[in-house]
Amino acid sequence: MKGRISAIQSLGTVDGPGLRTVIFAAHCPLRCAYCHNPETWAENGEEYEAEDIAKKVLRFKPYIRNGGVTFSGGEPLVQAKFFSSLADILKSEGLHIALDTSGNVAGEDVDELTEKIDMALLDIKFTTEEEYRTYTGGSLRKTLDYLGKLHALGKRVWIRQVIAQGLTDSEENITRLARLIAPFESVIDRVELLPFRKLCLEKYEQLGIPFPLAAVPETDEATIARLSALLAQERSKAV
Amino acid sequence: MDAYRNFKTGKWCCDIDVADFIRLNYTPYEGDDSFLVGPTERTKKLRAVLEALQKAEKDNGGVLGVDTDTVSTLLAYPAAYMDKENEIIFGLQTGAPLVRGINPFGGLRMAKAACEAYGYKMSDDIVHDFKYRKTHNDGVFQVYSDEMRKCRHVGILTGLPDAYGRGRIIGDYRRVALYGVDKLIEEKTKDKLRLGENTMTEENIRLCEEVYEQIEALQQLKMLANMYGIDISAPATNLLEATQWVYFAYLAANKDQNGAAMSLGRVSTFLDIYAERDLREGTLDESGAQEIIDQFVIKLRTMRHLRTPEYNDLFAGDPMWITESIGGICEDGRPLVTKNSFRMLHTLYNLGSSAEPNLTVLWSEKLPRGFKKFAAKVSAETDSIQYENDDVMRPLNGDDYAIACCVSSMKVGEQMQFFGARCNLPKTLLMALNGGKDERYFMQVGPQMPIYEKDVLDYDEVMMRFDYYLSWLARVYVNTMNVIHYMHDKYAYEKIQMALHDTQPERLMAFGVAGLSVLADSFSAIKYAKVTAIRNEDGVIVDFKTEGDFPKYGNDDDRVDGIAKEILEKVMAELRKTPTYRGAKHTLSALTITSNVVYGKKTGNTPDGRKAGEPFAPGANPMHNRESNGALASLNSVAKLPYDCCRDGISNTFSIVPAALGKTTEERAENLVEILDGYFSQHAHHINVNVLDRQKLIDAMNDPDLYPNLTIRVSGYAVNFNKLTKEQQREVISRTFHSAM
Repeated sequence: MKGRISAIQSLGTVDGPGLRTVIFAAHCPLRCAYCHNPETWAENGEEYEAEDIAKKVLRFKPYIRNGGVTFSGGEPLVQAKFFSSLADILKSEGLHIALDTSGNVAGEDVDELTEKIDMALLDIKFTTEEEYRTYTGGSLRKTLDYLGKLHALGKRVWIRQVIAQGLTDSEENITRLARLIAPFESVIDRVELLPFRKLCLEKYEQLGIPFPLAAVPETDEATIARLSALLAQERSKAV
Repeated sequence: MDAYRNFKTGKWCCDIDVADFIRLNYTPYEGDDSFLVGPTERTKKLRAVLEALQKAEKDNGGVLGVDTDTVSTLLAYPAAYMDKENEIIFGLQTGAPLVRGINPFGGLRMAKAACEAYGYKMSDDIVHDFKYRKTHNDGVFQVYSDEMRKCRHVGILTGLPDAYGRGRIIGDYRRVALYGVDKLIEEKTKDKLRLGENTMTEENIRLCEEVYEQIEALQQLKMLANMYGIDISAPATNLLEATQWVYFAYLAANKDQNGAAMSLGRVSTFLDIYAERDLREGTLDESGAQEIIDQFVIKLRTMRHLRTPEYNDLFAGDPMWITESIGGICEDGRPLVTKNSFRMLHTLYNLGSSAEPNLTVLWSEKLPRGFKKFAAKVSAETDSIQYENDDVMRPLNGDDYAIACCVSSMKVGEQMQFFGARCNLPKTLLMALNGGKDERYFMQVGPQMPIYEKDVLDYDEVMMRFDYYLSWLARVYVNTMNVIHYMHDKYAYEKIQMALHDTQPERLMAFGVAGLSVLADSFSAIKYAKVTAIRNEDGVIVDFKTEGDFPKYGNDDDRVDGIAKEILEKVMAELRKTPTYRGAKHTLSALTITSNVVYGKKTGNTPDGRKAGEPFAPGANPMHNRESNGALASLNSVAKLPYDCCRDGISNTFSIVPAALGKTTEERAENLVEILDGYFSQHAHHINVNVLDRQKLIDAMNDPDLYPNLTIRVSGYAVNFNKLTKEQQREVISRTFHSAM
């Protein structure tokens, strides 16, 4: 089974618990305004057999005690079949698997992969259908459907959202987020609000793609702290 | 008072055997750092004195003062103090703190030049006296062959200890505390008597003379302590005395020698035995124990030697390499971690982060979790610790070895070494292509053969040429070292340090390579891409056109990592073919200190795409920013290098931005422990850890006052960033800083 891979980062500490090797899938159906990895949009990347990727990943097994492997991208669900067979190999080696996704892809292959993972990092990019469509080209409903699926399967979930000024930094947005996830709280271990950053500017320049949020300032830690506190409050109310 | 009260007796009571004493008497500590305490008022005051002196030193251009009238010897200076009321460990190198002494025994010209570099003038009396005394440097240059001089001139052999003290010798300073000086003199006297019965061969005569000098140095050591009103002829009776005795011995070594690395050894756990006994007897509390260690470390931080600007290019930032090895595992399986191991690391908080002493944690998978986490936390917060793999060194060295300099392990008191700087591997490749001609001076240095004639480089043909020139270079290299160390023994013998060794120690000759990653990537380019030679009008190959991609060392790719491994094995095999002075055992390191900048400067364009004059990567590091699979892939590549043929050490300097290591201090410490466990479980040897942002260094370069105490690990040692030259700062900034994607 072959898949298209944009990159492998051997040391990840922010995409799931512990030390993790992160596999970045090529190709993504969304075009998020603040996307960090524009090089993964297209259907390019290098083609690998699942066995070969597994072999590379297993080289990092000595470092992994509480961590594991994270499938990221791009959107790994686009290549669900490939990641499913990769998951088989890695699971047989006892590695913990996290899936970093927008949940915007559905189908039998996606269901199969979802059953195999240990946890998901689900990015709820926007909290209204309209904003979601405008700023990503995808659908909030699909994300929530996928969250429902994770919930039904009892998979552990970290919810994430990027906080960008003028887009997601309103208190109403945080309140909506708390309400959206309320029915699924039993599987949610963590909700992370991530500051919008512009470290990716250079990548956009190299690719010759204009960065839509070039004028938006980076989000400061104080905003994240304030909204995180609010979120915690709203979540306890919503339950 | 009975110095040995409540100590378990054993072999150490009849023979000089500190390791046996430690094994029988130490108390392993498996807890966490919660017992540690802050500095005492006295320590705070003394720290302030030191910091004021350091600031004055910096404002004075890097040297606070030079005693230009005195040649440094054990008894040359009167007793001197930093702050007599607040100091509890005594002894300074010269008549005043941070004032540097003069040591012309390595070479008069260098000592003079070092004075002049800082605006001082050596007294006429010293110049006059040394007219009648031959130095190490004089001896070496009288014997050097034309070929050796040429190799030195073009920089294929660089940093040779032919003009400065070779260092790297660790006296077993603990012997003074455990036995007292009288007992050591008695043992050496017996040894000398025995040697007198041998046939007086050249070898035996030399040793007899050396032992005589050792005994004389021990007598002077006693007198040195007496100047401070302290009698060290008998064993130490408590922690304060034991620490003071050890310090006097180390101090004496620094009055006698200005070696490139004056390492301390492995004293923390030894001293803990005294601390534990005092604590049990109720004569000391935790605050008192920490105070003694803090004050000992303050004294270590005052150590200085006077260096020339050329020396500073090689070993930047005024390093002393007061390397202290901490932790490791005992031969019986218990961790050698004690409360004093924690106290020693804790000095980085009580006294602020610092490059010296060079705190080195001997890592093992079996180290207690509490200690691993504490070390990782200190590392992430201070960038002042390095780690070396006890699990690969212990099987070879036993459990009482220490690190000299950066990565060089030796059994304490049983082994010494002849330090051998390093040879330039990429330059050897260029010389091989050009038939023995240097690519920068166009001078014939190696054996002559036609310049490589094809346009596109063929891997096998180039490798064959490289092998031939490597074989030639290895022979010249060993011979050069033999000359240097013969003369060093003869004219600048380390009498007090060798007095604290067994009389017939095992000797190592520590060779080194520079530019390993450049060479591996160059061969990889030749093999997997298309490399075309570019020649000057005389046909000398001066540049390369490299087309296509090729595997690069640092990405866990066996195709090129295998080349690096093979090169090291070849170098070692070639070195072994030439016998060494005094039957020393050949060893090899991949370690450059900061000389990777100088080596790069002296080396032309290389097939990997590195431009002429650009720095090499330090030690065994992958070339800057060629690592595209992240930190662990880079570590895996380095871990493949075989310690077996590189027993003088494989140095890797690793920098990661805080955000990539974890979100909180706690997470960073946890993650760093996992990284170290994973790396060392693959038999890797060494790692320097920096957890910092590149931007911080750029800010510090532009405004040194922003971070006056910014300490970073460079290559086997730590350095105050502000003490590096701009060029070296730029090189450090250009290195890979692992970050999240």
